[in-house]
Amino acid sequence: MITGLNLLTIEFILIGAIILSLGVAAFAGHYERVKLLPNYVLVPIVGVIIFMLFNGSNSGLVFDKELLVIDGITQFAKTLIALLLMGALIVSSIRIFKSDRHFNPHRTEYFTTLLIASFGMMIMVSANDLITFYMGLEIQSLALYILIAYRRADAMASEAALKYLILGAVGSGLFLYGTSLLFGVTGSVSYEALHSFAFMSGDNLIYLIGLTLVLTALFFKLSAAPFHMWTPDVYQGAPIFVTTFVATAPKVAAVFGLLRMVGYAFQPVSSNFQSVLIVASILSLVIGAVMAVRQTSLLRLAAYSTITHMGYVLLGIASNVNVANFTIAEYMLVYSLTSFGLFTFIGSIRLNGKPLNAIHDLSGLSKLNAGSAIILTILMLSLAGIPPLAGFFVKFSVLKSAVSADLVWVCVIAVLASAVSAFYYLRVIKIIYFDEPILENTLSIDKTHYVLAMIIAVFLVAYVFYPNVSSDIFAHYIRHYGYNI
Amino acid sequence: MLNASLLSLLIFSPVIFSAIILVFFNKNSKISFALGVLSTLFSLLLSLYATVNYDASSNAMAFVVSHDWWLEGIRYQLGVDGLSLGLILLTAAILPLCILSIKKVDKQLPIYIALLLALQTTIFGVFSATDLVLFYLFFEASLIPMYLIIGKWGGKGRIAASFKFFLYTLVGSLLMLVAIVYLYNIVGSTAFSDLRDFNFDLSVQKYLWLALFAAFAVKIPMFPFHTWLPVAHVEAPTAGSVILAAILLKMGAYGFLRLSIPMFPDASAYYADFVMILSAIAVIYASIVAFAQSDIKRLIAYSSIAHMGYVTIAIFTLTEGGLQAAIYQMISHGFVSAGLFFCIGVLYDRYHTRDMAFYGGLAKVMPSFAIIFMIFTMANVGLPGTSGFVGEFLTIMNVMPVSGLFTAIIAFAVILSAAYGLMLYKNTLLGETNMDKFGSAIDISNREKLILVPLILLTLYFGFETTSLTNFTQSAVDIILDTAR
Repeated sequence: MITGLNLLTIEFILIGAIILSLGVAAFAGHYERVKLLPNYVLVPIVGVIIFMLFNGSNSGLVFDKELLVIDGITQFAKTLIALLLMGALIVSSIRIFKSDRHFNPHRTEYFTTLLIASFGMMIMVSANDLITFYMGLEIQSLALYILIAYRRADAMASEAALKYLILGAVGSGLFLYGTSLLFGVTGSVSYEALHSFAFMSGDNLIYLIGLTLVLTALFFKLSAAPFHMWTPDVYQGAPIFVTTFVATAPKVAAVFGLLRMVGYAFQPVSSNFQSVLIVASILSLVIGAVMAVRQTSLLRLAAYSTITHMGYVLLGIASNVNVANFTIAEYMLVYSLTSFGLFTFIGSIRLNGKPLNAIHDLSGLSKLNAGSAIILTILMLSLAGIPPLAGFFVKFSVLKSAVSADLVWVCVIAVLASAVSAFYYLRVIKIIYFDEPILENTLSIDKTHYVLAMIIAVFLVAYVFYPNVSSDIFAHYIRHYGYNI
Repeated sequence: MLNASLLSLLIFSPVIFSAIILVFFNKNSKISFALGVLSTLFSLLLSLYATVNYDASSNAMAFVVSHDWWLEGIRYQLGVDGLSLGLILLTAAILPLCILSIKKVDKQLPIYIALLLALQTTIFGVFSATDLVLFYLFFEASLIPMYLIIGKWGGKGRIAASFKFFLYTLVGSLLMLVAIVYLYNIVGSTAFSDLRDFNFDLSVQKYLWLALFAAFAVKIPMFPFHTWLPVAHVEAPTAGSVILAAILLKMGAYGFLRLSIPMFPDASAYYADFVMILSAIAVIYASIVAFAQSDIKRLIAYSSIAHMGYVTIAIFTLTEGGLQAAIYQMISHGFVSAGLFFCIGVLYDRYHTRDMAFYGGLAKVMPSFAIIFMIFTMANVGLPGTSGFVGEFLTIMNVMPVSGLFTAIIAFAVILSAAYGLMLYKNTLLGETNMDKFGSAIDISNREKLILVPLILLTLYFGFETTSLTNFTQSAVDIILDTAR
């Protein structure tokens, strides 16, 4: 008897949407009307999913073997993923149906793939078992390979996808090897068994090796240093609206997946792997900050900025190894939205009909379009964590939890890395405000993208008046769904 | 009713005007100028109202506001005493003059005015926050508008200067951020009153004191951390230089008075000699360097460093008289340095150079300007009858009981300041008049008189009527020292 299927309503709706768009692709892909699909059908469906997630209250374990868990934390993460999916549907439908002829023959499949990737992510955050997690991870990764290589005539995109594929395969290999070691010593892959084994005999060397390998695989997905090499190439090579999704939602999934593993399955041996998290955190902070300084491409810069931010996330996880980690929930909410806003912004601008890449192409943006200059400034300053913007508050929370875990010295490294990264965020602001516009360039700004980025910018500014908003949202989910560990 | 929301209104009215200008009138120079004047006059009225209604004999903070804002113990708390009200009044008096000094020819004038108003908000916030996180928020937010003002409207090396300004100050304040997080973790609150009442161990105090010192020493700036100031001053536009010298530097000294001394009295006593040595070096060194400058603005910038050296040396006598002297010197330097920078602005507007060698003999062709410039130079030197004299005299008098050596050093520096002050005056205004160059010189306009005359009146007023200010700040000084004992 399969129990708890009713808990998976969200996932079933998503699968329904996948089948629907697949059907459209198979039978009606060539009709002009198909462009109504993403914005008029899929976006409302995702809207319904978000609404149901926000208002639902069913929680528990799914399947007899407890393969999946549904609680406040998973549902919060799924809401975030669904929000990012919705945004990605909106921004990519514009490009796909408007200008890009590369996509024309397979344009509907694009949306199917996007939905499949999101489905994989939802499995990742709900997984209560290493193999389930792995399945979610693979569903997500395979879909993302396709998305990244969607513009297949483009050499950069193919290169990016290949890099992502190979490094992702290495990551998956490490994950599976770690899982097999863990299975070898514990006789199970379920988080509960791993938890109780760690509780009984946590100093088992094979167990620790296995868990380190599993963590390493997740660092790949998080693009935490020293496993970050693929990030800049992928961000730059993929079509910009794909980057918008690839840079945000998979990070949410990986962070919450990691949180459940370290906060529950491996939690009894947290003192053993805390140092691994801290080392990865420091490396990410430093490498992300230093490497970004000399970047000339806005996308590569954003990639290194992601790495620094993942350093902060790992610091937050290391200092409070707990599934219900408010600091991380807050951080991911604000960070993924900011990052989404940044990529949407980059996607909004087309320079002489081509996508934006070099930072210098934005020279004198404030004179050409004052509004978008202000939006970019807000996004940059929030990423730099300068008050009074939202980025400051979540940075403060991470530092607070690190200080209470006696990691003051890591905090000092973190803030010094912030100072270095402030330099390159400021450089972007310098270019848009202080430099003179390049006259022969013509900028065109897409309205929908612009409005989305503006909404996020307003959110980042208004955050100061109610800085508890993100932790209140998380608390709302915990209150409604409770949490299962 | 007005009393309860007075400070909030004071803080947020400028930024509201700033937003109105940005959103509705970002193309209309005339209306934004009018709104800028209106807003700053409104702030001036509000702060005058606050001053009239402030009871100087009371030992409590006035116009207290306290709302829930963020985490437990981090509240939106405002309040003023004589010290902060004095600085608020200084700010409110200087800002309308800055707006008046803006020329029509300045590019993107509405944005310039909007940034000045936003800066005013952050300054008011710094001086009226009674919660450490709120203080930090305003303290660091003030970097953003100032960065843009220097970088956009500054001179030739404006970009390097704006970066130097931002990053130096940021590194200092990020170290303070770690200290704030640490404090919050032990005390559980960041209200100034709670932090004052908490007894820290001397070993802890030392670290925290040093972290705060990093932020404030850069801001003031003190001797080895001062190198950003000459660059920033030289490159900033007139209004920017004025705000920087007259107000922003005072934030550092204010931080020592409001935070370091009351919260870490033992560490302050422990490090007092250290600060006094640095200040003594600053006073002598900066005066000598000022003497060697050929750039007028650089000269005044070094003179500012020297004068702020008096302030810090007076503060760290840790006596009632010393603190009074420091506050007097801060307010006086606010008027005098503002006056000097406006005067240089007058010259720069006419001849577009700050090179002292270019000028000479201007007194013959610009007699009114010569008189005004003479008054400010004399006030800077510390001629009796000007506010500068009172500040310096009080400082020397109060350092004397603490250390004869330091008294001798700073008294000697007064002679140095006379030397460079008189040299500046001689080289620019006296001597042969080159009629080819300056024959058609225009004496100062009515608008410039409107800016400079109020500053002269204030300088002279505080040169004679010394007790009004000391009475006003007496209770604040008592509170700072009471907790220190």
